[in-house]
Amino acid sequence: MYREYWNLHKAPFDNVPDSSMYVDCHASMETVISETIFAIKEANDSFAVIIGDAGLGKTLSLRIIIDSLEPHRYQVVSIINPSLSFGQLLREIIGQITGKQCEEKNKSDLLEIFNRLIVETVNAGRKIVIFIDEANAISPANLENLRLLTNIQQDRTTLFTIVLAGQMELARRLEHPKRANLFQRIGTYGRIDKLPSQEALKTYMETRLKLAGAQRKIFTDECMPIIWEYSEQGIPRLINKICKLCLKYGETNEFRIITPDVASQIGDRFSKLSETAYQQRRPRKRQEITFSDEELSQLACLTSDKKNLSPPPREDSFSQDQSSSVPDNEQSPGNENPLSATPPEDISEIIRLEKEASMPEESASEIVYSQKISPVSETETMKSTLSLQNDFIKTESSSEVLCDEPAAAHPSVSSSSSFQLLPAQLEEQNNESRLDEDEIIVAGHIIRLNIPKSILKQVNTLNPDNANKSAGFWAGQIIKNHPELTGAPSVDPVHLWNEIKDNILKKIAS
Amino acid sequence: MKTEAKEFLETRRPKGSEDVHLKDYELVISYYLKAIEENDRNTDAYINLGFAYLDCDKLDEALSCFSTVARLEPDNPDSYNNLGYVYEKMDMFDSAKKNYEKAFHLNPEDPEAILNIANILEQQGDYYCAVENYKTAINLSPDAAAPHFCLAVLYDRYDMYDEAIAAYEEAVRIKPDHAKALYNLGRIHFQLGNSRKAMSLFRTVVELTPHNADAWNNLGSVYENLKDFPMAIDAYRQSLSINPFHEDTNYNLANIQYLIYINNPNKMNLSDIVRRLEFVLSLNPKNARISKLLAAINDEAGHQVID
Repeated sequence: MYREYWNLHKAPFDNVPDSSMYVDCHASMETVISETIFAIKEANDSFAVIIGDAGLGKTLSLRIIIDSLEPHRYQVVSIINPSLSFGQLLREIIGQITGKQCEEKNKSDLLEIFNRLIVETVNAGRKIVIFIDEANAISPANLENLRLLTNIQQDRTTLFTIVLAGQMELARRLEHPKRANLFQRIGTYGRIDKLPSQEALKTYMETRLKLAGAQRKIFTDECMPIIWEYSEQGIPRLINKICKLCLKYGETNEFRIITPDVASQIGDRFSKLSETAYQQRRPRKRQEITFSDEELSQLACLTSDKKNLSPPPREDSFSQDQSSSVPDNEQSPGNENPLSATPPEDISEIIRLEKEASMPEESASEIVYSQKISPVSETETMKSTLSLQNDFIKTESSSEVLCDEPAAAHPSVSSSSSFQLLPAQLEEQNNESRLDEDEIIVAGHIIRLNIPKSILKQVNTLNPDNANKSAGFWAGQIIKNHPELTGAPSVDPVHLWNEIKDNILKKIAS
Repeated sequence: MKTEAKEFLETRRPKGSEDVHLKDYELVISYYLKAIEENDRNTDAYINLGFAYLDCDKLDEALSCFSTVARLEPDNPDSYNNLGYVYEKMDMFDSAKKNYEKAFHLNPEDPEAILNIANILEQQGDYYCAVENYKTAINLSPDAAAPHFCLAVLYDRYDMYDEAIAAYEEAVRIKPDHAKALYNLGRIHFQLGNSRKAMSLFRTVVELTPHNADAWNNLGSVYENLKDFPMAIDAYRQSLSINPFHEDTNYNLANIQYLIYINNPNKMNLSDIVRRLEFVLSLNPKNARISKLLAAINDEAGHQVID
């Protein structure tokens, strides 16, 4: 083990929160901790805020603060991931205070319970402190709700304190003029920065090594600039990682001291790697369904209205609210259990469609090749992905017949984004004369760019570098929004992107 | 038709959002609702309905279903495991933990509940308690790979390399084709400088999961570290053929091409390298590494023009 090799009695650079390894060279962190403790214990502030990017020590700071609160005087509530609705947030807070799961759903009831708990806790001589980590994930509406929550504070006494800790996004939200009311209630507003200098880095590393029992120098001074650079100028989490890897590498290779070469190799290696793989979690294996054959037959008999069956929507429309597809007259008003949803269609029809839908796109194209389907209108393309076309394909804008090529060769792809793709098989020259002013041709597709004219106008006034960047951005958006463009393994998206970008630039210039 | 109907309901539905369409869920949900209408104590239907809602991200509805099951079957630990899972998906970790604890209380021999509790603790940043709970799960089910793997990932996240290696190796001993464990082992060995070992592991991973862009990227990085540039470029290209937008791989490929260019400008086209970097920046303008490399290339190009 590397600890024995380097003669250390504990690991100096573990990234686990360990307040005994705290080094006071991190001035901003020290200030934040003491100010927040003051806000809770002395100043009776409604809000205390801690801002800091990932890896700078927010969670360790929170742990140190929580550890400093005497359990007989403070009731701590800890919210780790606050991207909840306000009702859920309140239920979670109430659940932690009472130690029991809160089932209440009504917001006003939840508020009443919360208020009662606050008063009861104060009467019992304790104060509630709510810590919300990753508070940058709180929605703006919930920030406002939290502010309203503090309205119940009594005139002279603060009944509870909320500590918000989050990344820079939280600061941006709090400092928005719209949230001036909330901002005024913030008692302390601390920011944790990176280590301030290479000197501080050296102190940090050497102090931690000493705390772990080091009797001699292990890293040469020349390592400091390297570690400084690879730790993105002093991010503690990265410093710990690099230093630990250096110690282990040194042990494996029986080095007496860590040199800049070693630090450089380590930093270079870990910056190249992709993310760690995690366990895919699924809930408990479901129980076998126990529909009897008779029940299934009954269900199948409920079939009706096959006309409603439409081609399955695209993956990107998956999250659309489908409730609107259920006719109103088929819903039982006031029935919470949505038993009145659309009656099931004939199951054999469902299975047939399911099988079709599960086929790869190429196969699906082959199937629809023989079908005769009318040209795709804009509203239809918004609903489905793969346009089913055969005899004629028309442009949406001109309704002109563009080609008589079967659609199977060039499936038309569309989505609700601002870009529309249309198939084209004509010679580029012929097509160019038919293009609308916001259309370009890329890889045999006509792409409609609905880039607002005001933006195009602005881009036109930019210098070439910035115009290039702007066109690149729009080209990137097109590629991002239309994976179909890069679906074939032979397509190099970089070339495609460049082609789109050049076309946009030409369009802007014209 | 009955068989087909069963097949549809029981096997097609739970595939998740990847290749089952919302239309199917509507229909499946209708079936289960109908079954519940026929018998409002049909817990199996509630469970399957809950899963359908989960797949559709309708968490409140899923919660309602699993809550009903818990009410109907208060002694069934699975009810609470499922309920806990929904709370977890809702990011209500404390409520999730309480339900997992109920499940564990009802069946202290079942490692799943304790594994779920450990996972919650891990997400809450309680490292030490998470480790203890994962170890309890391992003791309950020593021959299952999952608890070892979860513990290994926890160690890995906190850079506890020796402990992580031991736990991953245990997971691989139990399940030799555990691609994720092999992949993560490769990552650790590479970071520790054991490039040959890492290469062997990543090769195994790409054999097991040839469409794993991350594994190809990491294999490329190992080759690059071993100065085998042609093999590295080949691996990076494999990765990009799977995921053309892979930022790490695009960076690594551009970087290695730039290194080759510096040594021999005739071997690489600088504008291709720049274009690749600009492409990634157009998709993610905040990629600092790409910006930095691009700036370095532009600086160098500027110097050359001046010289």
